[in-house]
Amino acid sequence: MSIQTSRSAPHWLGQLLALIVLVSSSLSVLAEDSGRALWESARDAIVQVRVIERESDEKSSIGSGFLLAGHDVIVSNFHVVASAVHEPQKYSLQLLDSNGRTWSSTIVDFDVVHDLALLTVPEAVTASLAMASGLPEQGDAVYSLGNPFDLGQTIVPGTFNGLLEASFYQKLLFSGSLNPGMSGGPSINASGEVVGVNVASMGNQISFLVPASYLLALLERRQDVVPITGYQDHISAQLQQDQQLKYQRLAATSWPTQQLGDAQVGGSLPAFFKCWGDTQDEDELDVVISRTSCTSQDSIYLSSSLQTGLIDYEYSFVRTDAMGGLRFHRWLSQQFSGMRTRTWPGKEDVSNYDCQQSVVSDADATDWRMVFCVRAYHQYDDFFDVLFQATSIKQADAALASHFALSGVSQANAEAFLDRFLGLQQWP
Amino acid sequence: MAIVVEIRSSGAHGASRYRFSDDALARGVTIGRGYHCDVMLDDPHVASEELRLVRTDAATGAGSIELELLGDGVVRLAGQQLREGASVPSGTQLKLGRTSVSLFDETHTVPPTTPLDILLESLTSLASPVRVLLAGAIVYLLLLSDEAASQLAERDWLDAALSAFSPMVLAVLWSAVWALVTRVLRHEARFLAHLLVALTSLALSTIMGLASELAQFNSQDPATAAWLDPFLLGLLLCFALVLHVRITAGPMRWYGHGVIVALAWAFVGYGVLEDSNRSRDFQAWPEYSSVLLPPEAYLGTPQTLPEFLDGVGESFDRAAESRTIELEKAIDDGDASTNANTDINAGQR
Repeated sequence: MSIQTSRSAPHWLGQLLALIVLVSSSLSVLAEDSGRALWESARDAIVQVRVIERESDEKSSIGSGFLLAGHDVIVSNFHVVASAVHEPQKYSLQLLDSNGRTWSSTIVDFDVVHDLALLTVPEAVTASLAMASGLPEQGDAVYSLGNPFDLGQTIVPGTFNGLLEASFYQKLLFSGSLNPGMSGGPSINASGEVVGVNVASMGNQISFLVPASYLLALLERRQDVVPITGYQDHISAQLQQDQQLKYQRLAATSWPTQQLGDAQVGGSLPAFFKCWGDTQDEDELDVVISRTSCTSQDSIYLSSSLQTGLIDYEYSFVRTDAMGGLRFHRWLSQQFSGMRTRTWPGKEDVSNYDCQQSVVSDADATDWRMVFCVRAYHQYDDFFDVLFQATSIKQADAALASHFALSGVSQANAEAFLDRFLGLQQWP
Repeated sequence: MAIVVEIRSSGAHGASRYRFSDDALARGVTIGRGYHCDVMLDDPHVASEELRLVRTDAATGAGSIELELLGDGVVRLAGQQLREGASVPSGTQLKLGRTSVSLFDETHTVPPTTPLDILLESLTSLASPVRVLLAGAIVYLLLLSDEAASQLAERDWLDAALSAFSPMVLAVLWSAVWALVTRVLRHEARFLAHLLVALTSLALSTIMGLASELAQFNSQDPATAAWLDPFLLGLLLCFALVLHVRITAGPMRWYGHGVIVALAWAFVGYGVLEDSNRSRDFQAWPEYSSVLLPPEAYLGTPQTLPEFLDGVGESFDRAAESRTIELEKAIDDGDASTNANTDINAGQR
C-alpha cells in the first residue's frame, strides 16, 4: 500500500513542484527586474567618496555617498571622512561620480554620534534620491548601494529586519552584505526611496543602517554650506549632548537587582544593554564562578584609533570548597588583575590612567578592595575613560567581584554611575 | 716557638687543637690515621701516616715549618695537591683527605669570626648527603608557604610536590654551574655547598615574595612594589652571590665583597631605571596593585566609602591635570593635531 502511494505521489507532486518552480522563477525575474530598474534609477545619485592624502595625491580610504532630493548636500558617514576632519592639512576629499569624473568636496556638517556627514555637491551631480516616508515592514526587500573595495558601484539586495534592540540609538538591521567602501551609501526600498544610510556590518549578512530620521534631523539643524572652524568644539558639543541624554535616560530607568550566588547585584537593562550569563565549574581548582556581563552596543567613531561612548558592567561570584584562603585570594588576584575598556585609543588620544585603590568598608561592614582608574581625552575637555573594580575580601572561600568600564564620560556622570552601581550590590 | 695544629673534620662542628713544643717539633710531629701518630685523624681518605711536621731551626724557635709527605693520600695546599715536601708559614691551611689541618704559631691570633663566616661555615659543614637532604626538607617547607602550602593543606600531594619541584630543579642546575667553576678554580666542586646556598636563596625569595605581597596589600599602592621588589631582589642577589663566590674563591677581603654587592645593586638599578622609563611611556592598561590576600592580612583601617569617593574625585583632577600638561607639551613640540581649533577645511582643494 505504501509503495503504491509513493508511486502515485509523483503525479500530483510533480505538478505542484513545477508550479512552485514557475512561481519562484517569475518572482526571481521580477526581483531581477526590480533590482535592475532600481540600479538604473539610483546610480547617478551615488558617488564614491575618496579621502586623498595630499602628499602622494592618492586615495588613502574610500566610502560612498549620495545626493538627497531637495537638499544640496552629499550624504555620507562621519567615519568615512573622519581623517579629513581631524587632519585637513594632510587629507582632502574627492568625489567620483557615476560618469567617472572627480570633484573636490568639503565638509558641510556632521553628526558624529549617529555617524553622518554632509558634503558639498559637485555641480555635475544632479540626480538625487528621495527620502522614504516611513520604515519598511520587517521582511521587505531593501537594496544597498555603494562602492565595495573600490570595485565600482554595486547594488546589494537584502531584507529589512527591524530596529536594533538593546541600544541607546536606533539602528536598522539590514540582512544583506555591506562591505568596506559601501559606508555612506544609501539603502533604498523597492520604490527607490532612501530608508537608511549604510554604516556597519558584522559579517554573515548582518549589517546596520543609520535610520533616515537621524539624517532628517541633521539636515534640519545643519549649518550653511560654509567651512566649519573649530571642529573639535563641534564634536565635543555633540558628544556632551549625547552623553547627557544617554546618562539621563539611564538614570531615569529603574535598575533592577538580581541574585548572583549569595550576593545581590545589578540586573540587566534590556533597553540599553545586551547581557550574558555563565557558570563555570573549574574542577581542577574546585572553584565555581557565576558571571553576568552586560555591554552597550553604541560605539561612537571619532577616529581610526578612538571610539567611545561604551558602557560595560560585569559581576562574578566565586566560591571554592577546597582552596585555602591564601591560595584563593591569590587566584582572585590573577583572575581580576586586568581591566580595560573595549576601545583601544592611542597615546595621541588619551593620557595614562590614574588609579585610586583602597580597602574600603561599606555601610554593611563588608570589606572590599576597590580600584578606580581614570584617563582624560586629549582633544575633548571633561571626557574620560573610567574603570572600576570592587572585590570583596570578607570571606576566605567566597568573593564577589564587580566591574564597570565607561568610555567617553564626564566626571559628573561617571561619579553618579559609580554611586548607583555601588548601591546595587550587596554582600551578605 | 710552639705551634698549634688545628683539625676540622668534614661534617663536624668546631675544631680540635693540639699544641706541640719546640722539642716535639724538632723530633717531628706525625699526622695520619694510625694510632702511633701524634695527631690521629678519623678519615678513611688519609693514609696511616700521611705527614710529618719539622721545625728547621728549632733552636731559635723561629722560621717556617717543613712538611714531609709520608703516605700516599692526597694532601692539598691552597687547592693544589702537594707532590713533594714543602716549607710553609704559620697560618697555612692544608686539606688531608676530607679533613682540614691548620698550622699556627702559638702566638697566632685567630681573627674574629664574622656572621658571614659563621653562616658560610654552617652551610658548608652540612656536606653529607643526609644533612643536605635535611636542609632541603627545611627549604621545601619554606617553599610550601607559597602555592604548595595550600595544596599540601588540601592533601593534594602530587600538585604540592610539582609546585616545589620546578624551583628545586632550577637550584640544582644553578649549583652545578657554580660547582663547575669551583672545580676549575679550586680543584673541588663543593656542589653540595652551592646547592645549600641556592636552596636557601629560594626559600628567602619565597619569604620576600610574601613580604612584598603583604606590603602591597596593606599599602594599596603600586609604587610599593616598584621600590620594594627591587630592594628585596638586591638583598637576595647580594646574599646568594657573596656566598657562591666565597665558596668558589675562598675567603675574600672586604673590597671583594664590595665589588660583588656593587655589581648586584648595579644590576637591580638598571632594572629600576628601565621600568621607570617604561612607566613614563603611554600605557594602554591601568597600573594598579592587583594583590589580594585574606582579610586577616590587612593590618590597616579600611577607608569609608565617602573617603574612597573623595579619592575618586582627586583621580579625575590628576587625570585632567595630566591632560593639560601633555597638551602643553604637544603644543610646545609643534604637534598641530592637538590644536583644539583647527580649521577643518583649511588648505583643502
